[in-house]
Amino acid sequence: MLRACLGAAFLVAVHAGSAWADQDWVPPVTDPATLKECGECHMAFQPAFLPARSWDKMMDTLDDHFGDNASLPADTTAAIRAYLTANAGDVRPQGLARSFMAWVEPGGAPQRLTENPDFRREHRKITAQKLQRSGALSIVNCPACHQGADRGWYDDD
Amino acid sequence: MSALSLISRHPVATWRLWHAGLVGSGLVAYVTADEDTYALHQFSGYLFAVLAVGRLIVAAAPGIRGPWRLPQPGGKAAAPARLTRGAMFQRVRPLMTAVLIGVLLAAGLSGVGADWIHRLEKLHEAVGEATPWVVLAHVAVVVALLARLPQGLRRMATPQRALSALAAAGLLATLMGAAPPARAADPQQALLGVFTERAKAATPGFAGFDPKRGEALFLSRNTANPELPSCASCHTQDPRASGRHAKTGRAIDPMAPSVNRERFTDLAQVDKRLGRDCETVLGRACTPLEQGDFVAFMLSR
Ligand code: HEC
Ligand code: HEC
Ligand code: HEC
Repeated sequence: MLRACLGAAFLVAVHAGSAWADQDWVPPVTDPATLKECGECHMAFQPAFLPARSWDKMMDTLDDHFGDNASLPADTTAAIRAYLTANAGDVRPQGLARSFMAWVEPGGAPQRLTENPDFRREHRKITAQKLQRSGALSIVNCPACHQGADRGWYDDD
Repeated sequence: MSALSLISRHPVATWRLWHAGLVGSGLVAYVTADEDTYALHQFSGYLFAVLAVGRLIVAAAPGIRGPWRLPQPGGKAAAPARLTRGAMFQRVRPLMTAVLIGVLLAAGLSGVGADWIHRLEKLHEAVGEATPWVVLAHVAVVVALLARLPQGLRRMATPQRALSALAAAGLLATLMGAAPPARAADPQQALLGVFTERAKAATPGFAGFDPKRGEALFLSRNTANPELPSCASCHTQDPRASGRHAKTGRAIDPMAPSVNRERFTDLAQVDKRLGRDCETVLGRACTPLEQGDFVAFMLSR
């Protein structure tokens, strides 16, 4: 009986889960070093939003990271680079990664996922004033508007 | 209500069914607590919370019998002539039930709460980690006091032996539970010690740190970076308040160890951030004296 209940609960839950694993979702960041080091100044963005070339370039230039010095010890940098490139949008095109990657030029290494046309279309109504007024402050502050952002969910408003 | 009448007609069968559901959903929730199986975790967690709360609602209903009824603490369980295992179970049961209900409800409800209020996540994690131990203790009690033992074992299993086995198990569980959180007596003071050594070596005539100078540095307004003139631009003027990154908007936990015990415990982290943040705000590295003054200021808050 116990096993039957477990099985039933499992089936229902898997079904509910798969409904989400779709268009509003990217695989969440699971690597502890990436979560810690890339999640300090902003949320740790999911690697699926950019292709591996972008992450390589970013990890090469951490000492000038959008004007900040985000450099890390060489071994940490290497570990994070390996994680980001292995899970990049062009390497594992899952969920939202597919629509984002469709806009990346072949060979291009964009550094901002917020400049992806898909992203800009979804956020076209968000103005600087709105960001200030809502308290989100910056468009890179995904969790301010998307409660599930650190779990990879962007289906809420 | 038909569910209630079903329960009062078949208390044991419905109890087993409920128990299986609780164990099943709890187990699934426990093993899927990782980020990438979050949907499953959420689903089974809600089921678990509903089952845990439902059990209390049923217990409160009139005419409920059998295992569903909550034991009355200090009830009139007439002291039997001989202390059998069954009698001992009746004595242990109120405490066991109270602990179980407390922990299981806390696990379920803090999870539901964390879904809405992110601040509850830490609490939920802590309760979640404690739950298997409480359940294990519950299983140990039930097996020790209720399980039907083979003939040979039964003669050996006197109440006294069961009691000492329980005590030993309890002691072991406590030790295992207590071991991980046991940390160095005061990690912040140890860290301040490192900064003291560094400042002694680098500062001629070093005469100790001054929290007042640290406060002045923290609140000072500088010109190196017009966008970020002060430490307080991101950390706010109050070390005990939550801050936020002035460029990205990301929330920053309070800096004062009096409200955030994790602060100033990790030397590599403190070194890294002092390096970056002094460079950002002052346009230069902070001296060992400034760094120590700053840490001393934070520890005084
Ligand atoms: C010292 C602070 C800091 C750290 C640490 C940091 N970043 Fe950033 N990051 C920033 C700032 C500042 C921006 C620009 C934000 C803006 O434009 O509003 C940024 C922007 C980004 C963007 C572009 C966001 C967009 O607009 O699409 C990406 C991607 C990014 N960071 C990845 C990383 C990764 C990967 C790491 C870990 C190796 C990391 N960051 C660590 C400060 C940091
Ligand atoms: C100021 C609030 C705000 C911020 C900050 C914000 N978003 Fe959004 N986002 C929205 C709104 C509003 C929508 C539109 C939702 C809709 O139309 O259903 C949206 C839609 C999206 C979608 C499309 C979801 C869907 O339903 O298809 C994605 C993906 C997304 N955002 C990702 C991000 C990421 C990644 C970040 C951080 C880099 C971010 N957002 C920051 C408000 C925000
Ligand atoms: C641009 C925003 C910003 C400014 C300005 C800033 N900090 Fe920070 N600081 C951060 C962030 C982000 C963290 C890491 C996030 C976290 O640990 O919650 C941090 C963490 C720290 C830590 C680590 C403490 C610990 O034990 O975790 C120290 C120390 C620190 N800051 C000191 C300073 C000092 C000193 C100044 C002024 C010279 C300063 N900060 C200015 C953003 C800032």
